Amino acid sequence: MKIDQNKYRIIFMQEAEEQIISYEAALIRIDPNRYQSEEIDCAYRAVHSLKAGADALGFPEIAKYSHAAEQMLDAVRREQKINSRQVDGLVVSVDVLRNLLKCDINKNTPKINIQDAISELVGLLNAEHDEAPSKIPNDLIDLTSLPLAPKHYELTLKPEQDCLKRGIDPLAILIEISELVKVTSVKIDLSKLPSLKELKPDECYVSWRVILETSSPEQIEDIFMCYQGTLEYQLELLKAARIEKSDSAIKLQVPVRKGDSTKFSRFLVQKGVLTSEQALTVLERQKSSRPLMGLLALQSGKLSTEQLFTILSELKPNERFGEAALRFGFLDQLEVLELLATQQELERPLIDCVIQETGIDRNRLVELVDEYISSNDFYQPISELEQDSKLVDDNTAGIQLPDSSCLDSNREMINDFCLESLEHLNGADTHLLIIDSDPTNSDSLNAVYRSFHTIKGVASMLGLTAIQYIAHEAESLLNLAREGKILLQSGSLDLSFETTDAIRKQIEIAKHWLNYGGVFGTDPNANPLLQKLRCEVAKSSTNQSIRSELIPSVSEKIQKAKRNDPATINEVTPQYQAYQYHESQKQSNIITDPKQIDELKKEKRISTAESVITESEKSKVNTEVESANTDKQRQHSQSDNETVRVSKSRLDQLINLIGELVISQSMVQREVEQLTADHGLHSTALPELSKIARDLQELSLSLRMIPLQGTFQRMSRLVRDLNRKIGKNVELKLEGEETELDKSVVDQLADPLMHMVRNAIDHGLETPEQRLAVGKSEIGKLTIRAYYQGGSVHIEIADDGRGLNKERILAKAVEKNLVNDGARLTDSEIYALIFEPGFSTAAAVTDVSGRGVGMDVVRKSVETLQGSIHIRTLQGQGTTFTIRLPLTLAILDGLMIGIGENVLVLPILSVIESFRPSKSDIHTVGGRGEMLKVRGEVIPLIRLYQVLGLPAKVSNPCQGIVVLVEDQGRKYALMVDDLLGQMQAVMKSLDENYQRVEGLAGATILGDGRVALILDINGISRLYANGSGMVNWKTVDATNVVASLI
Amino acid sequence: MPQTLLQVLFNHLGELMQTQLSQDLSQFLTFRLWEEEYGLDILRVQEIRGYSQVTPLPNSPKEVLGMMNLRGTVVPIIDLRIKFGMNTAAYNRFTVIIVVNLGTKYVGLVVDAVSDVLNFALDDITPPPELGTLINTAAIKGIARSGERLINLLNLDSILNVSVATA
Repeated sequence: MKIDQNKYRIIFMQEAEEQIISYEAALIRIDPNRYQSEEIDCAYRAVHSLKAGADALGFPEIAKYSHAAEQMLDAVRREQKINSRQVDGLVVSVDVLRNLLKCDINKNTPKINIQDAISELVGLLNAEHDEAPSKIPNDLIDLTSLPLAPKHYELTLKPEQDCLKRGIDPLAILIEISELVKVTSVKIDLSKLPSLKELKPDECYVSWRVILETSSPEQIEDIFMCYQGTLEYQLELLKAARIEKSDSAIKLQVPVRKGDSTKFSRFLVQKGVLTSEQALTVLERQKSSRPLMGLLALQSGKLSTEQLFTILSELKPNERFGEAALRFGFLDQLEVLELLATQQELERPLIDCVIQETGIDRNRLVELVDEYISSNDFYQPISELEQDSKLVDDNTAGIQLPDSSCLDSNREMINDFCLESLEHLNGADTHLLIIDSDPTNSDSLNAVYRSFHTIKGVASMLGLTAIQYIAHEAESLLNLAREGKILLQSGSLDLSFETTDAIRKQIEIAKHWLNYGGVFGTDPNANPLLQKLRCEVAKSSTNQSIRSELIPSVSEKIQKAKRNDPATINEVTPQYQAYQYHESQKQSNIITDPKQIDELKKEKRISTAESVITESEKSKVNTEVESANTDKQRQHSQSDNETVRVSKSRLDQLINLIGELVISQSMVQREVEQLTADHGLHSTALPELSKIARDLQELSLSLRMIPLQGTFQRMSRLVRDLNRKIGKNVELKLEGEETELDKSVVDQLADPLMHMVRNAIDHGLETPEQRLAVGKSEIGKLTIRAYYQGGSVHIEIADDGRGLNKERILAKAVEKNLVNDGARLTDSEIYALIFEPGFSTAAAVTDVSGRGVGMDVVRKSVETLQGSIHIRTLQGQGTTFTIRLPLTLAILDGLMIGIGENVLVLPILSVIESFRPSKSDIHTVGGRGEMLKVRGEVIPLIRLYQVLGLPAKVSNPCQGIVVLVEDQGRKYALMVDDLLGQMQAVMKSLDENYQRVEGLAGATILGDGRVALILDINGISRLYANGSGMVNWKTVDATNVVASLI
Repeated sequence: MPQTLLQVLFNHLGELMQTQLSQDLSQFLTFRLWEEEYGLDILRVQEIRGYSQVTPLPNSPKEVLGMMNLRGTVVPIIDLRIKFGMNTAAYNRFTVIIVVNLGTKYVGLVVDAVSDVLNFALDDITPPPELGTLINTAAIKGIARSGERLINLLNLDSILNVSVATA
């Protein structure tokens, strides 16, 4: 069982790109003057899939936006007409989607204002369709009605060193920007400036940080359009706190924060503004508003509770907290500085205190500050910048950016680590799912714990701090669960899932860094998660209640204080002191209680695994971690088969080569047979070789096979999420996860399966109340089962829900003009209607499904996989969808047929039967088109040689052979000369060197080295429908008759 | 100056001039079609091979003879005689297929015989004259002169496209 969100995200990205391309292609084909349902459907499908995928994998912007586009298309579809403005708008939406996707790939915050974009789309609707707005969900309207206030952005402009030589003047750009938008402040980064000796006058060493205010960041983007690729820039929305800093009023705080408050107060006393007593009170007041550093460290994730406890309990007299932290090695110098900066940031500005104490006019104070600044020369732009950059780091507090030089030296190992930890995470997810159903399963708890522990150990060794911290906290949580102190249930379990996702994301960042270099960023979600984890751990880490009560409330209050109200900190502090006191009490307890000492030691060891205490301990810990690793590896190799990772391209190459080997082997065999036939000799070595070659081919094909496990697991996650979302209680049962399929098939299977599961849960299964009402168990059952049958794999999705309602489907189909009223359809034909695009019997369109696109997607994807899909349903008892798929796409089970001298291959999956018809079976209609009567069914007879324009030996169906084939529920009788046998055809695409040819799925190479074409039944039927099949001798005769009559 | 040193200097100079020269020259593989001589950029030639069985491709332009197995890859075969509207010749063991590389795709060209590898300087090549509607000269890049012979240089990039377009 595996869940690999990361992988799916990557796959989604690729799929999304494809979908956007097909969406665009469909839109472009739309002719505004003419309504073409096919193109609209196509666009609709693409955008729907995009939405579903984005929704499932957590890309809310894309989901929201594609939802809007879908609405638009839906309206168009109902209206059955489209105008050019709408087409234009939709085409623009392609770009927006692409942009959003690009942002998500690069992990940037979207540069487009998505609400604007959505409102644009919706506006398009409003303008053209009066009834459309009622269809738009409320949240969209809410979004669009929001006023657009100008926002603060931070623009980082890093020109390339040689930009001046290329004629790009960054200064001109800045001026241009300042003309367009309101620039609040500009800071220059001179840190790259070399010494005068090394300075080259024609190179640009500086970069800028501009804070600006605008309501349309696109303007800025536009400016940079023409510099794409030559200028590095970044436009970021500023958070409120940081904007304030950039505001001029905040400038006041700068000297106070930067310099010494005492100095400033002395200045004020000298100026006679304050008396010395007043100054002292002011300073005291300010000090009291300062949050405790330990608390900050805990909050920001720099210290764990254990570490904090250690520091506080071992604090020497007169030693400062930061010094102690340094002494223990829990924090490094930089971290302490950061903490100090945060602390200073949080404390009340001195000026406020002064105003409060003395009631001096603010403006007067501002003047004084200016005077103070000018009298002191510490206000230097560069150091200011340094501080600024430190403050930026504070935003990602808790996880410091890894030292890139250290990372560089570990490249190889990081790569290995990424792969390994993904495996660990998959394992963890699997076990977490088990824990979900059985919270006390100690095997699984231990397994998850081990996974996190290993990840943590290696991450700390490699300096990947973010992963290390997260894994550490998750490990603590799991440890508690393992020791039975807490139960991993909803909240904490969700947190564990979040943790695996977060680590995956971090690994993705690491991978990105490995591949493309650049800045080694940190996932912005990592910190909140870290804090959540810490809260969870703190909440449950001890049976002593005070602690569990204190930590969350303290941190909560601090957070509140951080936001606006410094006064609450005063409230918090005594509590915190009590906590501190309590901790020291605990220490003395521990000393008397040897059992607890052991526990403490254990805790300490865990906490020291990632931070350094002393050199000796460090090495000890490292060896511990390493020995733990090797232990695990040993276990691994005992329990699992060892695997070797091979890149896909090399594997494909190998498979191709083996394919060629088999072909040339059989060619050699033929030649030898021909040469030796006359002499009555035969080779003994050749059969041996042929056997080996065949074994080799079989083996090579099995290399591409992967179990369905991963895809199935993704479904169980989906079911879990959907259960939460729509409040149904559905139990998913997975069977046959070990069934193996070609990797490319498995990859493409996830999409249709996802749609089917969503549909089954949303429509197929009733709500718990309804279920109880009809006497079923409250819990809905959904079974996904995979098994081999014949040469194909069957995948069943069975629910025990309400089943398909035949009458309703038929009624809807008549309403939608899909079938004529009164047409007599078989049951399976009626059920097949649900695959029609836009077909839905659902009363309401929900977020999950109901628009009738999903099943269309399912059919299309299954067809591209050369599979078929069948429905069995019993009203009130449930529905079973069965997907039949070939084992692999590269190999096709084919039926070789002969037409004249040519050998053609029919995919055996679509062949029903073959026979030689008698004359009485053949009917013609008005001399045009022949039909074959097969057991009461009338099936069009296609003379393959005519459709394909090949010379045939047989032109009388009664002398040839007819192969009955089926495609999309339609049957055709193909007339051929001869059946030549069955073969495993290695598919070669025609457009690799040529182009797609209608009617052909590809080509394969026969045993004698000849090329045989593989037929595409769907294409053949189209060729036939387009008329190539109609021109047979009978129609010629008929036209002659008509001509002679005239 | 010693004789040997001078010799070395001359050798170097000679080499230098030769490389200088070859920069202006490009090599062309020339082949015969009926009575005409054609050439194509030798760098585009993948291999030259004999004719083996070709599987006809349905509903394709008539110059596309079909697909051939080139060591595991399926390659379209285009008969240049048909493409240029000449009488077809019989395909036998001596029919030659030049496999050329069109970007990412490989295409086999059926020709009568391969004749030469010739160097042409850019000056030797003149653009094809407008021949009105008689013949589409898009497939010809230029005409090169080699002594008394005139050689049509193929524009390979248009081979596949043009053949499809005229279908």
